[in-house]
Amino acid sequence: MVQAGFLLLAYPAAAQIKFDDFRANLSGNVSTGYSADFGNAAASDHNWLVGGDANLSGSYYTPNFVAYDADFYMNQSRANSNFQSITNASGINLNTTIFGGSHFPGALNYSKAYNKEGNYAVPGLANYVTDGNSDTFGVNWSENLPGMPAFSAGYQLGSSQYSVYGTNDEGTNAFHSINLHSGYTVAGFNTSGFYTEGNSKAEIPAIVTGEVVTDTKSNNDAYGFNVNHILPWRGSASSSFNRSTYSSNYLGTSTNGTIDLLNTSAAVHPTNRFSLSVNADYSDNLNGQLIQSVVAAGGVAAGLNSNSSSDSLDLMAIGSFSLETNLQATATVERRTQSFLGDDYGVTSIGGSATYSRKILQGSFNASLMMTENKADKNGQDNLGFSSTENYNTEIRGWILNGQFGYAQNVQTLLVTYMNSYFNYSGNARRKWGKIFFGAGAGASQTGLSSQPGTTSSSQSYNASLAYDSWFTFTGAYSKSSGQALATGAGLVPVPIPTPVLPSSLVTLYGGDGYSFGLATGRVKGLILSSSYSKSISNSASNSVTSDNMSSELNVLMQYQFRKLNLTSGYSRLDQGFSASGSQPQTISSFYIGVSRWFKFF
Amino acid sequence: MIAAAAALLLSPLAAFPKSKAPAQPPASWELSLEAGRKLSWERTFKSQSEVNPVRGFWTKVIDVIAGEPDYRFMVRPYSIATDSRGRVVVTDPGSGGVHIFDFTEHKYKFIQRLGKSKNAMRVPQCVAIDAQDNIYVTDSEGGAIFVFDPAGKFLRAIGSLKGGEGYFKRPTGIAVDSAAQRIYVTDTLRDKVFILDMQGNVLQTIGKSGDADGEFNLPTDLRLNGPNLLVVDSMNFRVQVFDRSGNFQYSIGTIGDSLGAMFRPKAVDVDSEGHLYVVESSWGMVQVFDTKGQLLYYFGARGNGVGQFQLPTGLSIDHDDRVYVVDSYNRRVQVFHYAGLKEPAREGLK
Repeated sequence: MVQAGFLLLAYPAAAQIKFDDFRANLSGNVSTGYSADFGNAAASDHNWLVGGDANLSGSYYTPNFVAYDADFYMNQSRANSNFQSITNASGINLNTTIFGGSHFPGALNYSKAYNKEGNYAVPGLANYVTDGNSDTFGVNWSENLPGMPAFSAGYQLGSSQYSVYGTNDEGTNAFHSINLHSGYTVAGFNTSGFYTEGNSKAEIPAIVTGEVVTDTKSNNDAYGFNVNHILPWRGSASSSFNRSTYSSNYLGTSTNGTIDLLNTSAAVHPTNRFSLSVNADYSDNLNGQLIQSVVAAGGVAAGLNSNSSSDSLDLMAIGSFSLETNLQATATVERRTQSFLGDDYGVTSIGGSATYSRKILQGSFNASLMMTENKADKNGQDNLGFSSTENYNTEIRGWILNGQFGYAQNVQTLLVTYMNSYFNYSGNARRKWGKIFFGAGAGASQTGLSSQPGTTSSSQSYNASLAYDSWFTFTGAYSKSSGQALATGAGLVPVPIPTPVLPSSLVTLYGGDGYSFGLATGRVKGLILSSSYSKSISNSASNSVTSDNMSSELNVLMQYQFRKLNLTSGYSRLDQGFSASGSQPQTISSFYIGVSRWFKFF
Repeated sequence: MIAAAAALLLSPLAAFPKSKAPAQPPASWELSLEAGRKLSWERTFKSQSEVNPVRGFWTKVIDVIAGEPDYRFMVRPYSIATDSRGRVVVTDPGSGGVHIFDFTEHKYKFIQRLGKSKNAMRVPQCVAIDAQDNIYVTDSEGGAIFVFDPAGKFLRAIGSLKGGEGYFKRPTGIAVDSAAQRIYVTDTLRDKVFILDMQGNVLQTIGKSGDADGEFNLPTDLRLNGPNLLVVDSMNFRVQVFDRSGNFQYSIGTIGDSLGAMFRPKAVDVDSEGHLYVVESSWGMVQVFDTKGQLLYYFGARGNGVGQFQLPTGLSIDHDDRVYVVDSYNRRVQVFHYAGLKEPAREGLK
């Protein structure tokens, strides 16, 4: 094996392959070295490893006829390369375009990964580390003949299986989707239609749901039509109709429904300074829209009432006027009526907004302000909506500064009975003193439903970096986050609808903080030394199951490059544990030392 | 002299027919001119690897194991000059630096000041070399002139103002008169030639916008030759000749799309017999004129073969009458040798 590895490294480069109209280029790294893995949940092992990566690309006839690009990788990990996997991952990514320069372009893509590190997402915090396999396949084709209806079609298919380090939990995701689209212009009318069909299936790890493994299935089909036409005064008018059907299955409980959406709008610009637009939206199933939002986000919607009739109508008119080149104003009138859970709701909103920009102290300042008076049909539900954003960037004495602030109160949500309020701010500063570079940034945000305690999600983050020429670069970051989320097969995602609508059993509470440091140097030509450490401590609660979670990673990498030869040595360590899993935290470490050689084979 | 020029003109035109679709070029060629004169193609070079093409046994062993070094190559070369040691200096705006090829000592150096916090050289456009082999480079975007010693070490910047601004709007062509301690710089957007002392103080300007004698419309390259200063007045489609004090002497060239006319003149230099070589960029050729503007001969055609050019931009003739042509879009320099009459007439431009 050792000899084979070194023989591979000494393999001479060959010329480019060109056979008749077929062209191919192949380049990549071949590596060999000693690797050792050890931890508390698996037997330690060590062996001589051969791996690498390669890129094969080329075309047939011309790149506009058939072009292809394939990436292969084998036994790639953080310890032996820059590959972001703690395990020795292998796989392939393939992309092909067919008839790319014609009226009938198509594309094919395929990817497959084995033993690859993945993430189970946690908003605002370091994600949980997973290990698994995945594959995806997609094909797209379209027709764009001049004077003929345009048509495009696509099909996607994918699946993944993973296990969460530190638990005995496993999760899966599988999906497929079909989409068709067509457009045609006749007698000045731009018409288009579409059809989509998709379904997904996921098994959510027990660690975040409190159940045994949660099995979810969902299906979404939709079709629709749109037509628009040019109006006088540089205007246009459009109308559309969409019908979508959904079904969701959660532990054997099914939910399904059909939603019809109608939209019509028109806009004109009588002068360069003035524009007017009107818009109307109608939905015959508001309930279904709520459920569909949850399903589309990857969550489950069991327990939501989908049988009662509901509808919504939204009428809006907007007038915009440009007072100065740096000052624009708009006025809005909106009427929303909704029938939901056996009750009728309505709100009339009258608002105005202004956007303003100017140079201040050699910097650029932009601001917008919007105020809306919401008058509800039901007594006691009137309120004043307000939102504002400001940002400023400038350079003062070598400091490049940027700041942003946003605040909103009583911003309308999908349901007129709930208003959202939030604030966010961020700022960063950076400066160079000769060979010294310093940068720092901070940001925070908080969002929640107005007058609804317990619906708040918030996050904070701080980061800094310091570098001296190529001697060293130091980075550090801290983040803190908490809130409510939906548990999906891909991770925790923010709840897309007002949380009081959702049964509490579907909402996962999370919170925690994390920090990370990194240090790297490239002072010696060809030599790169880098190390990083991150740690995240969080907790999650769902279905009366509470878990304290911890995840930390240490990575050290040394690479010395001489021409196309690389000497690589690395060490990676992952600690991850969940108190609710009943297992002790898992530790996995890997060590590697070896060489790799880049080749342009042909 | 006129008869000789006419004879020179006749023979090469037949030898180098202008073809729209370039035929497969020969591996090398030679152009026979009047009275035993010859112009022969010598070589082409495009990368650092050609400075030392012969590699020893152990070097080859290391090449097999570790791969060949990552040689630097020219990306979008523009201007060229040669120094007293025979080194060839090429500006390369495409890679943001200047290549120094030393084929005698088998050495190579790349000068780059991109990203420097102070005196960053952004677009190295044209180059000139003084009697001490110091290298002067115009930065057309930064508006300054950078001076390097023969080893490529940065010495100073001329026209570099506080805050990264440059004194010049778009400095392009440059020439150095070491004896008089003067620097001549073309500011293309100002339609002027600046005469500076070696510290960068402006002593005099030549020209203004216009098309009369002594006026310019986007001047680019310039060369000192004997007592004269030659300026490529690109959008007046001519080369103007001044004395070194800036007094107009004469000009050659008229606009046109036929041989002998100028359409996109880019660079100029003079051989030992006083013939003016003008790079005609869009036609991919070099036209050679006498001092009266009479076309003597031309060489080159659009293409990527030997003796063919794609957007040639720079030209330099050394003391041995080697003609270096920057073949910009082919990312290379082609070297020709002009074997002229034995008696040099380099000072006899008038």
